[in-house]
Amino acid sequence: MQQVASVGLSFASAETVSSPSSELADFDRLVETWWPKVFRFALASLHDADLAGTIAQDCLLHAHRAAAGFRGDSKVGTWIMQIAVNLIRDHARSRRLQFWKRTRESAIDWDDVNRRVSDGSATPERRAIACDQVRAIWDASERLPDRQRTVFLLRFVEEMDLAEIALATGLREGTVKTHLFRALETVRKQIREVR
Amino acid sequence: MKDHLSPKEIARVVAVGAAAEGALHLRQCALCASEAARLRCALGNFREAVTAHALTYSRSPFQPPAKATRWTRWPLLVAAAAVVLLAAPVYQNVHSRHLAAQAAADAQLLDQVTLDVSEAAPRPMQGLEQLVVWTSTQPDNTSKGDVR
Repeated sequence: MQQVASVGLSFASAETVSSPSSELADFDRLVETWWPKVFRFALASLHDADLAGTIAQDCLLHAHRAAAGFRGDSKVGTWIMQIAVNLIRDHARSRRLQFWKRTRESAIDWDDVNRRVSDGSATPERRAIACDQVRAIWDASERLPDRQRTVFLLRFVEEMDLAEIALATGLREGTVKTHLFRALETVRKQIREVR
Repeated sequence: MKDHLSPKEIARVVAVGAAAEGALHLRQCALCASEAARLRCALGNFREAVTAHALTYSRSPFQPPAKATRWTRWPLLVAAAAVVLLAAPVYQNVHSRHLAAQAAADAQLLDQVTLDVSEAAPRPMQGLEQLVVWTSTQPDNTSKGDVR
């Protein structure tokens, strides 16, 4: 666990924030600001609400404990997402040793998604197609290799740019691009099957 | 300029943005632009769905709801205790008044009974009592013997 935090401190970025240590030291503020984002990323990565909650909790505790050592070389968000990426990767490794996956009780409510999606058209047919597309992306993202899924989610759910993704994943920017293209190509094929 | 971008090239533009090869073509070709917009729209809907899904489960363990509800119960408990404390003396006062009235009524009834019992003749015979000369002196023994 300590290793995760120390790895998180080792990267550098041209972008800085004004007082990152104060943001990390105030635990209530840290949770209020970052819990929803970390939880969302963990949930999209693991498709399991309980695990996502555990990962988000560990991630923010790591960030808070390592606040004194954070140099502010990067955005706080990028640094926190790096911790989350490492925790999810560690979890994925340990999960491969299991003989079965636990039952997921946090299945997505597709009726709710159907009500929420807005593709600029109010016709039920278009909304149904949009909902099916979301479902196809959700399923496709689960089948992606770990790195491709991580890069894909950081780009299209967390809306991070390629440089930030490279920092958060510890990959080179060119490698990030490659993973992103492959992931998006897989997802695009899934979407085309829905049409 | 080639006719249209391949699906892979469109995906690259969507992934990387304006820096990608083909971005210029996308600005000039309505068909390819609409294809890219469709992909962006699907990805945007995906992001929206994931965010909404996360919000339904996203309850931070650092702010347990039970703690909040426990504190919100305090005003209700205090109000209930105040009502009990205020109502108890009133109830006691009413109850003691009722007991006192009952005791007074009982005493009055007892007095009435005592009075009735202590009367020389029953009430229906009081009219006859006026016809008899009543003396409280003791009769002497002589006259008593004469009578015999």
